[in-house]
Amino acid sequence: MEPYHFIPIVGVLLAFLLAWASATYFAIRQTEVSAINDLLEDLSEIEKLATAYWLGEYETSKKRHAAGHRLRGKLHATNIFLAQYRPLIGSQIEQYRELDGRLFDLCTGMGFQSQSFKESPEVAVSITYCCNDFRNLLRSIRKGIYLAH
Amino acid sequence: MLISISDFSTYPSGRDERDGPFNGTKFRETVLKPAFETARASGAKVVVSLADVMSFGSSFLEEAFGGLVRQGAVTKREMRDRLVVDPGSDINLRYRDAIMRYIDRA
Repeated sequence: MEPYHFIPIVGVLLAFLLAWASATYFAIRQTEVSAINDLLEDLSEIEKLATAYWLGEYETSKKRHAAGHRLRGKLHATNIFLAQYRPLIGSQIEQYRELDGRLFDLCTGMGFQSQSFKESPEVAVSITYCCNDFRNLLRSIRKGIYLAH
Repeated sequence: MLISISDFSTYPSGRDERDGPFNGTKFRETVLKPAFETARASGAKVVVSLADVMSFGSSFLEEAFGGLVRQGAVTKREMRDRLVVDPGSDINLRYRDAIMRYIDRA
């Protein structure tokens, strides 16, 4: 067989490898983008639960306590993301941890799940501000996903 | 000296007894404070493990750890020297950071 007969075979193999590599690359990046999108949704849910809690929108203490438990459960989302996707957060890790700590303190601080609870519009607004900062950070991380690799 | 908060409760909550049986004041008075007294006598560290606890409210952590400093039972300096918080996993790093913050702010 003449050597030039291998050229089409090698070409097909290279094309296949390139297609496979790019498909894998974009699948991984897409998974990371989806994880951030999921966290953005979770953050909206946290904001909704926490602002309702701190604005005193629950008529009875029983309902407020139930909402407090839901909020505690939902707050786990930012925590698990940090544990699972630390490399994705990259150099913005300190900012992420600072925002996560601030959100945790605001949502579950002072009289949270306590008989001494008093509604606080100030805390509710601070939670929304914190969630906005958090969303900005996540969008910035998402933007960097395709550029950083 | 090792303390596992999960031995106290896997779902601790609130500041005092009005908030439920597994509150921050009870943990501080029945577990944390005696542990510091014993450790101080022997010069040992107090290792607090956060493993196997479902979640914390900051009101519980602040009352337990910040409260210990506020009431003068342990100084901030002794807290920093003697207390070791073992998060157990990365998922609990948030709570370890929070404990250190509450001690500093107390």
